[in-house]
Amino acid sequence: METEKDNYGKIVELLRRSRPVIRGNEELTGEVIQRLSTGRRGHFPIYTWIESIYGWIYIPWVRRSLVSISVIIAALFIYQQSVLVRQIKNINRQAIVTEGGVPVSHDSVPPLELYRASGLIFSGKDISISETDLRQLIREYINVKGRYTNLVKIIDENPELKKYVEQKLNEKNSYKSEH
Amino acid sequence: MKTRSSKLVISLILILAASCNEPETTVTNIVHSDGSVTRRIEMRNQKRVFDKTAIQVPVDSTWTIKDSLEISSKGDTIWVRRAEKLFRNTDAINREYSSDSSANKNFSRRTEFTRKFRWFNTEYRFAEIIEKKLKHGYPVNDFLNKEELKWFYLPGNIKDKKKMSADSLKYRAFNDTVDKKCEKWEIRSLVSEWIYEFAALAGKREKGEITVESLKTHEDEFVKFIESDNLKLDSLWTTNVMLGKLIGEKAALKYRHEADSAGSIVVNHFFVDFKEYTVRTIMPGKITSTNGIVDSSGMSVWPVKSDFFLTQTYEMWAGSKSSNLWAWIISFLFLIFVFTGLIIKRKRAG
Repeated sequence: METEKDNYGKIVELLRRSRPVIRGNEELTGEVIQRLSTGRRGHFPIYTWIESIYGWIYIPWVRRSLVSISVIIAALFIYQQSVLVRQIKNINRQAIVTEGGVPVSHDSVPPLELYRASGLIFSGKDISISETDLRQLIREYINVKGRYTNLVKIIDENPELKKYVEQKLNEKNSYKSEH
Repeated sequence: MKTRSSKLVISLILILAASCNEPETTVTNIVHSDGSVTRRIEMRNQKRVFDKTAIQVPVDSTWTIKDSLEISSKGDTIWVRRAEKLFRNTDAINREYSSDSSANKNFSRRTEFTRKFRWFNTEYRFAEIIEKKLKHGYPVNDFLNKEELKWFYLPGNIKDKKKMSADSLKYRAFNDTVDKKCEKWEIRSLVSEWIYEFAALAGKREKGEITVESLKTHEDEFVKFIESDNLKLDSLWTTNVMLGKLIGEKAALKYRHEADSAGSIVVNHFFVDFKEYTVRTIMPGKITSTNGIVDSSGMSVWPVKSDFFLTQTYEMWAGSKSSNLWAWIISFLFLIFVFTGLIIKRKRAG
């Protein structure tokens, strides 16, 4: 009887010392929390939907992998954009401003002709002009044209004025031809 | 070998005479993101008739051509021909170059286009390449430093402006220095090319007697001959004095014909009848790198002169980048998704 009691006592002591080992603490915690929260909120479809999409947050390796990928994407973006900004800055520093924007390999042509040859005509991009500005431009052109016609009439009607204007034009032309 | 000075004079006269006929030409490559290229050519001429043999780049009836007239402020009449064609890809441009019948048909030209996908951006690179004329010449980089090289490749009108600016003395002196170094480069390249041609021709007659290595040991001597006394050069050559000093009198008599032939070949390669023009490139997206001049409108510009591809392949390249908006959106949504997940996790754990 005493031996049996002793054995029983030893067995109980042994069982007390060897505690059970619980594996998967994190998953278990997550599962419990999930069930509790589902229980609290009730069974609304949107929560189920969110839970299914964000189920990965409870799986450590998936969570860590996605965070790593996000960090890599962010780093790649910052690197690419900084390289691009630096390259554009370098290019802008190199830019040479030329007459009309077209440095040709022969003698320089007056800016008006270069403007005709470059820029808008050869640009690969579309340009948009305001309709109001265009109408204003046309109105101003008609205005200037009308004033010019009136000026020519006034000069023609006044012989002294005509003579004076012709004299000045001749002086200008002779100066141009000399230089 | 013919007298360099008389050939030079004749060639200069020919070039001047020919240049009176050639129009001022600007070739604009508008590169699209799919690799297609719209090529626009503008030719400005003093005469109404555009001589086909004087046009610098291939233009034919498949191009859309428009002629117009402009009056300069000086009152000069300038006839302008504008031609445009859309090429599906650079291979189409290269096919046109391979069947080239323009004034510069003897020069090997081609284009290249690459596109690289880099998720957030797509990188583009376009190049127009002219192959070198002398196979065994020295690269000009060996004779000019970085600043001098920049000056060498600068368009003529920009050089002229600088030479007439407030620092004209400085730029004129700099220009003279570069010209002298270029002369040394040209002479040395000429001699090097002659050595290889002569060795090849002599080798056909008898192998082993005249080799490139043996001639190269006398290269400096040969260059000094040419640089020192130009006037006596012709007589020194015709009397075999120069060749005798280089390879021995016996060999000079034996290989006289090969030496003269090598000289003719080299001179024909050196004094080329190339019609100059200008190339411009407009790239898709934002231009990020180029070896040309970037003008105020953001275009890359290169003058095309025969010196630039005498001993090195002349590559006129430009690189650009454009953003892939859909990649930005996907990446942004992904980051939001992960960030939201982390917040939810924190809240649940808390």
